Amino acid sequence: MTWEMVSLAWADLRGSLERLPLVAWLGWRDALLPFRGAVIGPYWITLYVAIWSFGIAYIFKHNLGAQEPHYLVYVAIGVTLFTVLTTFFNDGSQAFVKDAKLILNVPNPLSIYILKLAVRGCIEMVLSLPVIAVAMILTGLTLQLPALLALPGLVLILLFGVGFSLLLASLATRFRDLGFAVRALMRFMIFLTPVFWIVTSQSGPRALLAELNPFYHLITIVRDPLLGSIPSMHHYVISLACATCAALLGFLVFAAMRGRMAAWL
Amino acid sequence: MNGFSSGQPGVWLEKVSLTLPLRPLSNRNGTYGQTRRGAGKIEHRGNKRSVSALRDINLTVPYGARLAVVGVNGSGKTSLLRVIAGIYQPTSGRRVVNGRVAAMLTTAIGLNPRATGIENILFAFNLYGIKRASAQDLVAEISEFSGLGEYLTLPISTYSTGMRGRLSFSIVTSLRPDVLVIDEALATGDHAFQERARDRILDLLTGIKVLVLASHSLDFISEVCDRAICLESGQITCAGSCEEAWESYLGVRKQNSAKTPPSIEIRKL
Repeated sequence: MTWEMVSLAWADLRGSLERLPLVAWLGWRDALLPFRGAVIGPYWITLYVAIWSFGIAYIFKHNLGAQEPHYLVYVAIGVTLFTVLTTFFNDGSQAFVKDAKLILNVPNPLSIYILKLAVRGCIEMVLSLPVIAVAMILTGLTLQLPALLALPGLVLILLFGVGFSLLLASLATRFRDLGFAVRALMRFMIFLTPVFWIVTSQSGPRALLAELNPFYHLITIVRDPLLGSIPSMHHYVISLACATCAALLGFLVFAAMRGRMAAWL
Repeated sequence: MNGFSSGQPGVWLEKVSLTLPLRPLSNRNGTYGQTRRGAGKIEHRGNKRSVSALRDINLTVPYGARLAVVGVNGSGKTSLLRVIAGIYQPTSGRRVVNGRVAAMLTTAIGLNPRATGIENILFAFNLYGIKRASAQDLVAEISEFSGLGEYLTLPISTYSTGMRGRLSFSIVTSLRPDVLVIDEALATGDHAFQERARDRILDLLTGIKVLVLASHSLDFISEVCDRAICLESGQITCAGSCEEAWESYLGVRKQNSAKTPPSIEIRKL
């Protein structure tokens, strides 16, 4: 890889930042347009999170969630964040392939098709907020001061997501099997990640599995503050490390493959 | 050296080659007869195959020039337009393009079927980087030219194919870039629209500072362009006036039709 490739990739990224209205439009198109024509419309996202959260919380509250008084909120936040991460991974790996028509016919920076995922993720989170709010009211949880710590956590999730999408999208355009592999793995990840279960209630290999899972740390640094506690430092260190690595690695792989990307579409 | 130091819009390609990679496919054995002459060569390297889309292209399109590109199917016209537009990066060689480039390669510019006509117009403006200030006037102009009226408030999925074509044609031809690469096969719609479309393309093209036009019509290119190249298997076989390039293109076509007898059998049936 040459220095020129890196600077071209950097220019690509800067070009995307100059085209934020287009990025926003693409995010809107992916997040909301598919619901056109449906009566409930984009609130299906809200309903989806609601069904999962309330359903899971009802079924598992006596065993998996016995030690967490606000188990319903715990699940609702977990499901919301996991949905966003799924968007980054599943749609991220298909980002260039799906918009091949636009890429091949209109000269634009490639990274707009990655940044739009962050917009989409934010829209999904906003639409899930009512579920979290209702869950809080039902379990009698009020927001404490530490809740503010959720914001830097969200920033880290977005950085991790964008970086990893850049990596996956670049690789999956060349190696099409990757997209299918990612989708297969993400199905399973929701069980590997403490979304329904609580790490401290587990011992042995399962707890270790959670520690090795970046999703666990990223979700924790948003979920714990909202539940009223300050996450331990090691969650922040690992999250920051994962997000930085994902962004760096994504950028470098993107830089290496950018020139041939359109040719592989 | 390239004469663009003044920053004037222009296109300059030096020894540009482009190979398009192919993925391995399971079924590649068998005889499929002869490929027509003029298409890009399929290259075999070990287990890998690729299409050699452009080979050693040297091309200068200075300020004020209107270049036509002719050639048979697969000869590399669209690939060349995409390299100039910056969509494909050359596998080797250098590309320098000054000015704001717009590409009009297809009318399928990613219109979203669920979005309304107006939404799609605004999306296209974002896509092509049109400033907000001029958007209002452009929307009015597009709705007038496309003649879609109230349909513009409906999702594109309710349009007929022709109406969709009219909309995307009106959108892409409302942009006014410095450098324009365009595929003439753009014009669609019914007969009345096609005549107006031709006028509009002519009108658009006169405002463009640097033009590269791929076309299959001698009448059209000699009306619009002042020079032409003929592509064959990704190489420039002729560069000169429109008539000269056209002769070269006809030469390839004649050889192909001499090679293809099956039309007689159809007549027998």
